[in-house]
Amino acid sequence: VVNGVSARSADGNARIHDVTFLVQPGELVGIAGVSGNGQRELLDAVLGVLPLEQGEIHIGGTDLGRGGRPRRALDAGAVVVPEDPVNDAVVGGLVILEHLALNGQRLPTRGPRIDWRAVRDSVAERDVAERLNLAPLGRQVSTLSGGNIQRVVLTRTFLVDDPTLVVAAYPSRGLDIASVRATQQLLLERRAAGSGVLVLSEDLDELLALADRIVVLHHGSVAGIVEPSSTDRQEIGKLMIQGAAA
Amino acid sequence: MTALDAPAPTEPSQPPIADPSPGDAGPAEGRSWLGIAERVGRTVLRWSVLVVCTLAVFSAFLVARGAEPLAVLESMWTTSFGTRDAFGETLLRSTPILMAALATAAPARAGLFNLGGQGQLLLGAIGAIVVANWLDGGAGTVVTLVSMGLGGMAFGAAWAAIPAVLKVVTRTNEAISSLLLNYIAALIVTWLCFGPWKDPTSLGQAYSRKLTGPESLPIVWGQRVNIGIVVALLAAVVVWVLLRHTTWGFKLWVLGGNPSAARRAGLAVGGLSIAAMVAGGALAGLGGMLEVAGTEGRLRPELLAGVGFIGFLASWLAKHDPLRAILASVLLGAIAVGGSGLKITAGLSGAAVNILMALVLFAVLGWGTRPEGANDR
Repeated sequence: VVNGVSARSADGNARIHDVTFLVQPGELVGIAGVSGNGQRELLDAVLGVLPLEQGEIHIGGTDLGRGGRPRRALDAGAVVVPEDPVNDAVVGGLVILEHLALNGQRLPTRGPRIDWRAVRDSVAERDVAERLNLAPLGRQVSTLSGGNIQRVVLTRTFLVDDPTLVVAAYPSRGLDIASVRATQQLLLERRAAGSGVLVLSEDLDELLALADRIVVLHHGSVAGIVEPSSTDRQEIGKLMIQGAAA
Repeated sequence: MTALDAPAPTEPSQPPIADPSPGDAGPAEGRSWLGIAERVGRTVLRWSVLVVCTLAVFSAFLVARGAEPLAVLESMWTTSFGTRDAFGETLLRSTPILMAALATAAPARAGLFNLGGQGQLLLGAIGAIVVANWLDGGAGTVVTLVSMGLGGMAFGAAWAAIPAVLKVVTRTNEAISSLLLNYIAALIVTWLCFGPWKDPTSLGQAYSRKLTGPESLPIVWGQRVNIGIVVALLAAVVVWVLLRHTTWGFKLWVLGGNPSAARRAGLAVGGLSIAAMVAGGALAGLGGMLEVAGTEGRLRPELLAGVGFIGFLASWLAKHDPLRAILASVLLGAIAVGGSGLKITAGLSGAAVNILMALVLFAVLGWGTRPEGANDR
């Protein structure tokens, strides 16, 4: 639940204002908007990165309070594909396996050490890596292309079992057609399994194909909430550009 | 090729914070004999060029000062390594340098600049003497020395906690605040030596009483080398294990490599930052205890002058790797000891070796940084 949320980016230049919408379990909600209209701030607010100026966010019954504490959102069952994987997910020098452990869940440990076998087993037991055509686990992430980095963050997100909320920012960015389809299928499977799914995208066709409802952002505020069955690209496009006045 | 086609590493790679540049050599290449031979060859060649260039520039300085380079370098070598006692002096000088280097390395892994090693060394020395004064010779040697070590670590950690907390709470630059705390620590030492701790038998000299009996580190080699060097080496190994093979170390790697990613992965960024700085402070504090209970035996205003900064250089020379820091500390300790003979052999100030230290630092950081990524370490 995102209820009347206002928040400002760390540099103060961008903000969202009085944003309200609901993502039910087993529902996929899309966020549409021209880049720079508050998508990143909304994502950061939902993840608990940004402190809230007002409003409240609940994930699976957990109140995130005033925000600013990502651990709280993650413990509530949120998993995230970040908007900017290179800056917000890639750690220089770490290999793919190590990045897969950084999925927001508690690190698997064995005594004082990280249980890397458990991470590898988690990959082996699921078909996510194959479906997304993930590069070998020993590869340095910093040597990968943008598309392969996207595969890493997608894989680590979909390795989490039964998340309460999946937040995916531009999930198809940089991927080939086959991987785009695999990603969309994985998102739909999460929805079918009962997770709430929130997808940020500039690709209206993708949102129209996947979403149960689409929240359109304009200048950091909700310009409208539409259902794909009763709208089209033009209407959403107008809301994105002109806001609620459209 | 998919993820499961290739074997994953049994242990994660360890990224150098200062060298996050991407490379193109994959793990498979790094494991092949040809790849290893090529890397070793490149490394040997690079370091050979570095050593020759550094010595050439230093020799040019010596010539400009009217000294004979080969004679000076030979004298420095003899002073540092020429005899058993000379090597012992080098080890003694290297001990606090190594502890200060470790105090830099641990926070550096979390992306923090601990420039306060100097002050933390001094606070560690103070903490050790506080405990020694409190025990007043009433405990055995082991209990006394362990207690003094813990006291030194506690004082050093507390001193390092100040910039760490300021960093987390008020976003104050930890490099500046830890640096400025060095001067406060030096003033505290001066005050103690001139004031409450002044040795009444010092005949006007400003220093504390001599630590004796169970308050002194046992000699383990030669005339002067005490057990402090062993403790420092053990500390380096422990820090290396902690950074490389524990969950805590991995978290520090992530934090130092990308704070935003660490935060979004739910890591306790503030707590990790404070812990890294406090751990560094504790290591420096232990170094201060080793110095005051070993080589020096008492607190003086000039105690460990500049050692914290040399340790900072040693950590950077080692790219914040605790085991490499051992070699870097011995190298800089040897240069420092070698400088003591310059006045006699070349009529130069002992401070001339600072130029050699600076050249070494520039050479390693400027020319010694490999262009490859971290994965072929």
